[in-house]
Amino acid sequence: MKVNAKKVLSLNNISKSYQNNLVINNFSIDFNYGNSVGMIGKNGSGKSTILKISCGLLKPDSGNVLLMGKSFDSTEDGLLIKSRMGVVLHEEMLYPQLTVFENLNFYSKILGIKNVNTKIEELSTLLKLSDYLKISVSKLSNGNKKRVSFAKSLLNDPDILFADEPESNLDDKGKEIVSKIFNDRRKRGLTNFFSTHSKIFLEKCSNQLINLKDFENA
Amino acid sequence: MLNWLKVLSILIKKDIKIEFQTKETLITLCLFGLLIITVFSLSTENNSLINQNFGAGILWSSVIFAGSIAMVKFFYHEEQNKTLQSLLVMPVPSELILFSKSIVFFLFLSISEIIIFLISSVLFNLNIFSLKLILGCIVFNVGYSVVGSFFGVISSKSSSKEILLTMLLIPIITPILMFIIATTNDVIRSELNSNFQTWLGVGISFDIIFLTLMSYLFGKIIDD
Repeated sequence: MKVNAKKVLSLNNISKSYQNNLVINNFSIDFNYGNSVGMIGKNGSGKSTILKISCGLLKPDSGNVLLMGKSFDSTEDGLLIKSRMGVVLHEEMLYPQLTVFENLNFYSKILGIKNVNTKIEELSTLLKLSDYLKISVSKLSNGNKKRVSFAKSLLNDPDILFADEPESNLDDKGKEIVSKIFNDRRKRGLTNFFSTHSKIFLEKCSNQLINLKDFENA
Repeated sequence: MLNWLKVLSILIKKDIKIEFQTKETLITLCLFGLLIITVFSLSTENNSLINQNFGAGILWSSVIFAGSIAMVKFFYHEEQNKTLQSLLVMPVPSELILFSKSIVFFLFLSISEIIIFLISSVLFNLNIFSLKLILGCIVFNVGYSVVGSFFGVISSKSSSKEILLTMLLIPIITPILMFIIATTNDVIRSELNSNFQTWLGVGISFDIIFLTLMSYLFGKIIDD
């Protein structure tokens, strides 16, 4: 399904507070397809909150979110948006009792992916996970769990990929693979929106920068 | 997008697969339920009068408490591994998450009840297997699983989840609890209760009302 919206993501006057602690105040931003947008800011500046609001995991106290021109407020639109986005958070969000293959297989079926085995094989080769497919997720290192989490989020080749500190837990090889994925996606006109503390990763993977410091007194 | 039934079956298969690997929920349900039954059987003599009067209460208190503990375990992993969050960013209607959890818990609860009832019938010398009780159990299990799954998800974030779940669950399921205890008493005493159809109506109404209400509220609550 093609959505005719120039802006892939629009956050309009978003505010969010946790127990009277205002984390985001009247934050607005939008960007077009084909960008890789990196977000930096000190701890507690609201990077994760902005990402979670953008992907529909959190509701803002005020303001609205449009993803691919559609809102999460409508159930039907929400499901359509979710079928075309990928999310990698701090937590791997995987079933530790299941193997890597079983996890990816489960999410592939949920996403309605055709040729599941081919897709899993392709992603496991890309993320160097082929040797771990039959291993239970609980037995993986944090770095490999992160790679599985990336594989999961790329199963549907999402129009927009949200990633909260994508480089964390990854070794140099892992970081290299992820930055290559980000850049390849951008070249194909797909969008990445991520937060990071690493200036090197930011330089490698983004063509647009959001510094939350600039919004502090907005 | 996949149709709802297909997504529901994928979610159910996943939960069953995880349970077959860990066996946590089923073992908790059966062991804890049997433990309560055993304690009661040790504390009472094999007095058929006592069993006829208290048999239903003993049976269902073991099912209820074992069920609430197993339910906490059932949802704890989802919260701990943030896999519920993972489903919320997937194209899965939130109601389906509740339905799949309810169906899987219904299955586990039914299996554990068969085991608990079999052992109880031997320990207490009770003749409790009848179509009436099977029908009653199905109606009770539907209501208990739906309400329990709803509160299981809500309470999973709480540090005192075991207490919170039990405190929320038991007052709400009182109508179906009264229904199933009345039905079990009738079966144990071999009475033909003219009120069975009325109670059955109460149980079925409870199931329909709470299935509708919980699926509506689940989407609202989980979004926040």
